Order: sequence, then structure tokens, then C-alpha cells
Amino acid sequence: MENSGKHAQFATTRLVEMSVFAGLSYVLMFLSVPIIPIVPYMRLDLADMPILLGTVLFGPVGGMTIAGLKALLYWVTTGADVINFIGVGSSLISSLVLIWAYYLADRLFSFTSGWKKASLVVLTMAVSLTIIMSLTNWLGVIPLYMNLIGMKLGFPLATVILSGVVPFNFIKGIVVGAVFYLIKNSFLPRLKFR
Amino acid sequence: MSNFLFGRYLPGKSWVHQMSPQSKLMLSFYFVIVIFFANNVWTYASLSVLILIVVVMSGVSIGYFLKGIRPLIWLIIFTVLLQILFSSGGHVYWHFGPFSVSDTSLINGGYIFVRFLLIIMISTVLTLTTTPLAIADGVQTVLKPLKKVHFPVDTLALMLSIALRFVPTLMDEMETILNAQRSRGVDFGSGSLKHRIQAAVPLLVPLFTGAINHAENLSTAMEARGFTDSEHRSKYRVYRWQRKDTISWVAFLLVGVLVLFIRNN
Repeated sequence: MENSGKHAQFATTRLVEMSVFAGLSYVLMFLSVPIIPIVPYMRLDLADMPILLGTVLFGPVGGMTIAGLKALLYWVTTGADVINFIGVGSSLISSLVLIWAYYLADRLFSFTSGWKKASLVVLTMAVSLTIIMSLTNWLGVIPLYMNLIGMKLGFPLATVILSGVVPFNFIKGIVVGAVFYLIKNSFLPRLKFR
Repeated sequence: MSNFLFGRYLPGKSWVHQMSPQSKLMLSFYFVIVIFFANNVWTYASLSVLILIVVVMSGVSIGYFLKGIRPLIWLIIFTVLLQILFSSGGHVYWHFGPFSVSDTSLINGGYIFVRFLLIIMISTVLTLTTTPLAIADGVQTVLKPLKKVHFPVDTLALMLSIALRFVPTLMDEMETILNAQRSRGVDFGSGSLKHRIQAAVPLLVPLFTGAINHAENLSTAMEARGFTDSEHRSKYRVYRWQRKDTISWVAFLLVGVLVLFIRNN
């Protein structure tokens, strides 16, 4: 399943499967819940599931394609404006972090298996998501957003990040990782029997 | 879920509807850049007048535009409140602990609100008068220069169209599965985090299975019709640059120049 790129027949199937997965990711984005009160615009959703599953099926480049496509899809349907672009961009970055954290951790921890490996991989995903998203929010997303709408903040940015961005992304990493492992273990075996 | 409008497109024959998608896409970009330069009452007023003219010319009733604001209302309120309560300077009317309300913070809050409104309006005009497929087509045209660096623009556009086509189908399926699981007593909305994580599995697994089935059927159908690559595809609809596009661009450029002249330096 993972590398069938040479034959045109498989290429078409892969192309369509990735597109449909991107559509699915887009759909799942609408089932979202805010989890931390002070940053109500940060919402937890399951949109990363098709992306991560795509990473397993088509490799990290396939996963990145799905993530990019989903971002484009969202941006095209909800209004192609710049405010949206920032939100879409940061969610794309978080998907990319999850893809690579999963992919690399899955290789790195191949010395163990089962429960232990799953928890190590999920923890790696959560930690790398927290670190990278805090940095991007601190240096990029929030300053850019404030500049764009002409806002001046009266308190240090670090407060927002420590109390909002850090816990949100850690929880997100854990939840996404946990759901992903549950899905992967019950979905992939079915795929093989087809 | 039930009030979800996919793509938000409203059919019509207005001036804005007839413009080509690529020029509408570029115009909305350009307009947001112009909003960047607005910094006083006159600049915001002239941009608001321009957007009102656009709204009238789109022939879409104002109610639909208000609907476009609704999903972003919390972000807007949050930002405006943050601005009003935490910015410093000016004559202070009221303060309590770290919060304070002054005349400059109220004015800045008002500007931010208008800025939001303008940006949302222009993108709502785009999505109300252009089908998602047409926007995908516009994206393809706008990205065409990237072909020079071997970026697969055509494949991307094809994948985008396929994804767009499946969104309503998958949405329906998700709805069906959600209802089916609810009727068996699964509660998606409450319970501990662990409980909710477990509830996601019976939702996602059938969704993925369905998605894979759709993809296989479509790819078989595509191959049966001789699909080989996305670069030599023919198109059912072809969008061309028209005189209406040129006239609109001239109007927008003039307003842009006006904003540059009357803004505070």
C-alpha cells in the first residue's frame, strides 16, 4: 500500500484517496470543541485523523499533501481572506508537526512495541506539538494577527502563550495521538482483508 | 451541523457573479492589503463605501452577509474586548485592576471592529457569488506561475475539485453515523475525556471505510474513462477575463490610491 507510485493505475487511486481523505479532514473540522476558556478560538477537532492515517497509508509526503489540501479547501470555502490565512496556516503547521512527530517517533521507538511504544509516540507528538506551536504562536501567529488587525496588547504575550497555547497544544497532542492509535488499530486490519 | 451551508454560494446573474473567479480572488487579496493602510476615519469610511457598493452590485441581500459574520463572532468580540480593556493611553473613563477603558481604547476597538467587518465582507462577497469549484479554478489560474518551478498546479486543482465534490457526501455520512451511534446510546457531547476519546472510534472507523470505498469507485471510474494525468484535462467551464473585471480593477485601484493619499502618516 505504501509505495505504488510507479504504476499509473495505483497513482490514480492514491491521488483520489488522498483527495477524499482531505475532504474527510475538512468535514471532521466542523465537529470541534473549545477546551480552554481564555483562548476560545483554539478548538480541538478530529481533523488530524485522516491526515495521520494518510501518513500511515501513503507516507509522510502523502500526509503533508492531505494536510495542505485540507487547508486549501477550508480557505477556499470559508472565505479566502488574510485573517483566515493565518488560522489556516497555523493549523497546517500543527498538522505537519503531528505528521513528522508520528513518523519519526514511530521509527525511533521501534525497539519496543504495544502499549509502551504507543504511549512513547503519543507523548513525543504532544511534546513536539506544544514546543513548536508555542514558538510559532509567540514569534509568528499572534504578532502577525495583531499587526493585521491593528491591535496593541497591554499585557505580555508570554502570559497568553503559557496559559493558553501550551496547555491547549499538549492536550491536543495527547487526545489526537490517543484517538489515532485507537483508530489505527481497528481500521488498518480491516483494510488489509479487502 | 444542520445550519451548515457548504460553500455558501448563491446563484445569480449580477455584475459580481459574472466576474471571473481569478480576478475576484486577486481583488479580495488586494482589498485586504489596502485595509492594512487604513488608519483614520476617512480611510475606513471610503473603504466601507466601496464595500457597500460591491455588496449592492452582488445582488445578494444583506442578511447573508450577516450570516457570514456569525462563525467569527467570538473571535471578533474577544479581540475587540481585549483591545478595549487592555490598551493604555488617552482619557481613562473606568478602570478596575488590570482593566481600563479609555477614549483611545474605545476608538481603537471600533477600528478593529470595522477592519474585521471589511475583511469578512470582501471574502463573503467572494464565496457568495462564486462556486467552490470556480474558486478552485481561480486558485489554479492564480498559481499558474508556480508551474515554472515544477509545482504540480494542475494535479492540485484536480485534487481540490475531488475533495470539494466529496465534502457534502461525507458530511451526510457523518450525520448518519452520528445519528446511528446516538440511537444506540453513544453520547458524544459529555463525559470524561477518556470516554469521549473512546466515543470517537465508532464514528471514525465507518467514516474512513466509506471514504476508502468512494475513492476506489471514483478512481476505477476515472481510469475507465481514460484518465492518465491531470495536466491534459479538458474543462467543462472556461473562465475568461472580461471587461467587467477590468472596470472593477480600475475602481478598486482608484480607491487604493485614495486611501494612500488620505491616510495619516
